[in-house]
Amino acid sequence: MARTEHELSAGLLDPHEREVLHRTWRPHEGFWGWITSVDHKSVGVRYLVTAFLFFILGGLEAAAIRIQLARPENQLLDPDLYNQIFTMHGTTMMFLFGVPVVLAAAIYLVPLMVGTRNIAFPRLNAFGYWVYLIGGLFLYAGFVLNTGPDSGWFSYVPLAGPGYSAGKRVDVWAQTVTFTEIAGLVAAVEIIVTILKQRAPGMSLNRLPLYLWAMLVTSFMVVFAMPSVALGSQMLAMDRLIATHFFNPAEGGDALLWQHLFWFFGHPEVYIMFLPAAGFASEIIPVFARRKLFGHTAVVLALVATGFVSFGLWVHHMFTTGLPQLGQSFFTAASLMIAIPSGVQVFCWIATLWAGRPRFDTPLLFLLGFIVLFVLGGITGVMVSSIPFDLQAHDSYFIVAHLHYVQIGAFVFPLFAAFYFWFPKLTGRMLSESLGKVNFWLFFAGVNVTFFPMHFLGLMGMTRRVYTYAPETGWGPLNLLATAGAMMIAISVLVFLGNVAWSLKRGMAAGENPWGAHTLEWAVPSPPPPYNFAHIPVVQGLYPVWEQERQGPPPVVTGLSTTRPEVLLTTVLDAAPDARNEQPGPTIWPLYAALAVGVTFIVAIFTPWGFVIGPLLLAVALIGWGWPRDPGETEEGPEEAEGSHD
Amino acid sequence: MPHRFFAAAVLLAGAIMVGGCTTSLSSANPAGPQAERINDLTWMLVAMGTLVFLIVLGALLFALHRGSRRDESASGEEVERGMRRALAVFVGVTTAILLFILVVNFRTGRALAEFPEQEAVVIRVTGHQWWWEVEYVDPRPNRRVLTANEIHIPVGRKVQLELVSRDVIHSFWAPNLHGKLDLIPGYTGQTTIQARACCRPQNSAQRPRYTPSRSEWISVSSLNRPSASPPGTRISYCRPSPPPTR
Repeated sequence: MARTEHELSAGLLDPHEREVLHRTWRPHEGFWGWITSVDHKSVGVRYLVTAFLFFILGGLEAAAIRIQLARPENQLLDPDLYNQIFTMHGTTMMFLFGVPVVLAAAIYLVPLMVGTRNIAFPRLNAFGYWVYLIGGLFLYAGFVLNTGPDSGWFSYVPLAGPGYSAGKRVDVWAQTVTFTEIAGLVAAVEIIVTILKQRAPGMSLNRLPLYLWAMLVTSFMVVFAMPSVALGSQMLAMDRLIATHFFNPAEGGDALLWQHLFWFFGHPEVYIMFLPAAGFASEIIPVFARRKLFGHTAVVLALVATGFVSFGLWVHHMFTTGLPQLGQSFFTAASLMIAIPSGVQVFCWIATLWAGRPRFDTPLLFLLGFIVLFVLGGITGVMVSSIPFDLQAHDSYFIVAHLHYVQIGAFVFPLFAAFYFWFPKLTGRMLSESLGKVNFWLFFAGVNVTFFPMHFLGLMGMTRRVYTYAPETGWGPLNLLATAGAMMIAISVLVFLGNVAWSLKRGMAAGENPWGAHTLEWAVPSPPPPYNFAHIPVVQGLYPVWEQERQGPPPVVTGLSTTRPEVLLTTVLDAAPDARNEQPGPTIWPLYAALAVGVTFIVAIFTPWGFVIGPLLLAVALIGWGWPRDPGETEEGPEEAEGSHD
Repeated sequence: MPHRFFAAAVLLAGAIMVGGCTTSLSSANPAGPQAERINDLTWMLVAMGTLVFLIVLGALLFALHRGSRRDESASGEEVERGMRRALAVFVGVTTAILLFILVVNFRTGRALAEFPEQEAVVIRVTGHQWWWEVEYVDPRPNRRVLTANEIHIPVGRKVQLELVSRDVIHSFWAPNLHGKLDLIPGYTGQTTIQARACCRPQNSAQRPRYTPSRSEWISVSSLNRPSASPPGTRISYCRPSPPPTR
């Protein structure tokens, strides 16, 4: 059983022991090492980089949309290409950037923040990344081959059904969604288990940092929301490929069913992206306010409440479908209600800044921008939760303005804050502050110049997804302004990329804790060694690193093997040491399994035999995956363990 | 490359414009009682939203200003208690505002469904890719009229619309009469509208003149035609002639 010893701290570990740990946890060398790694940090970083590349692609599509709409009767994009581009933009941003980047950040941060050496189910983690990558590449391969989906990121039937979307375009969309849902689900399960079972001793639930609370709630939301759309996308694929009639009213199906299935996922998804962002804010604001966060309990309750209420909102995307009034009223009330927990969080952040001594570094600037944009997006959200108003605003540019204020303001801004904040931990180098400030102000101004005019365009009657408009509509000037704003955003992202490139080479060395932050990942070197913690610390408060500064080095856990990759499991509520768990080492099987899943879904588009060939391949991969390990490597009971550790 | 018409027209194939009173698609120029109620609600929401936004922005700026002038972070039981009290007040006020919005909302929603007791003109609108089929429903066969892409409604009369679709989802929208209602295959959408004002045929250089009259019919034209021309190009008109169907 793991013991704790006060006199033993991470700093006292002898170099030989570190060397042994390093050898136990490090991935293989070279390309082979890269594709077989199950380390949460290397998987997390490549997940982040991939998601960010999709963000750039989605941004380029947005730029194409804005250039097309800059003036009336523009002929740059033809209607067919325009349909593909706005569909690709939405699909990329929601399915290939939004949810994946949230999970990617968590895959990197959560194990460090809970104080463990790797994520739970590390092979599943690697598998999830490969599935996500295959899904993303598949979508873009389709786009390049003139098979990009073109019926909107929500693919309403019957337009997306077999009767009105011939060809393979919508099939590509449906399968991409399925890929990303699988990746999302496995990551959520890993994160839940890591947070509930692998916390360092002493990190009882009441000492759980707010980002981890946010990720816990988010991951449960993923588990409940994603099956709905995964089911929907498979039903759509079946309607299209093997002539089922789930959504075909002529044969007893229901066209509205698709909207329920989609938005039952689609609305919680907004909060799946927002809650982790709010978690970032709750972690980062105290660091720059140099004060503990006011209202920890209130914020936890707000996160949990948002998680629940967000499942009662989906019909507000469907107010114009003519569902019964009384039923719709319930969804209006719920949509208004969710403003309360959001408001509580905003209050706590502002109160913390008021009571603290804020230090205006780039991460805090992005968070201040976040608060301003999020409040604005939240207020227009309250407006559209009103059914009569929504009947006019629905599917107009007012909604485009609202959703971008929420998604960019309440999601991309905190994400950038987090990136500036954790970049030193990932790379060991600081990002440039001056470029960071240029990045922030251009981005903030750009978002407002782009999206604020869209409120007016919406009220002037401009509908979403139109590829052009007539001069006499009077929409030209505001659209031109919006396009100018989009170019500002593009420049700010270029500044950001330049900053990253420059800082990777010449950035200031960061050290362990450059910001004076308080969570456990700041107690390890930057970048962290493959084993994260030389010794698992025992957590003594809500702000463990700040406690350490006051009280000296914490007691640490001993008794984990240094020669085998073991992690400590603790109890769910109190985080008392419970068991040791040996983790698998580097393996290629997750990649094979992901390829088999890829074959299943991609071949199935062309022939139902995909569902025969794919699972056979998958069976081979899973047998390899589950092949018993060398008996010398199997887990030992706690009794033996006591004597056997170094 | 197959030339498919833009998806907006598919999903939303109904940006319909009510003729007469303005050439814009704006919902802020109501021509009927329902659009008026919605417009009033919109301005109330905009006003409240602006006020709330300014208050939050002010609080944020005040907090930053106050915070940056401190030498020490404020802490201690006294400060915490004060902030907790403020949080309670904040939650109370937020809830009150939201409840107020909810009530106003329901009242507007009810008002939209309220019409004087009178016989309605029944019009059945069928959405097609890419046109509207319009049928004036009347038990007397000689009064049953079929048109395409144009709807003429009597000013001041209650008009009941039955909205159906034969192919994909369309949406019926006459911004200065009422909000949108979708036409979903397998369902029949029901809504009632009323036009209050009408105007003479106009050319774009002239400001429209309003001549409300019970005898006049207002015309609604489809904006989305299966041509490359974008929505909003067709200016609808109003005919002061006697109703075509009665």
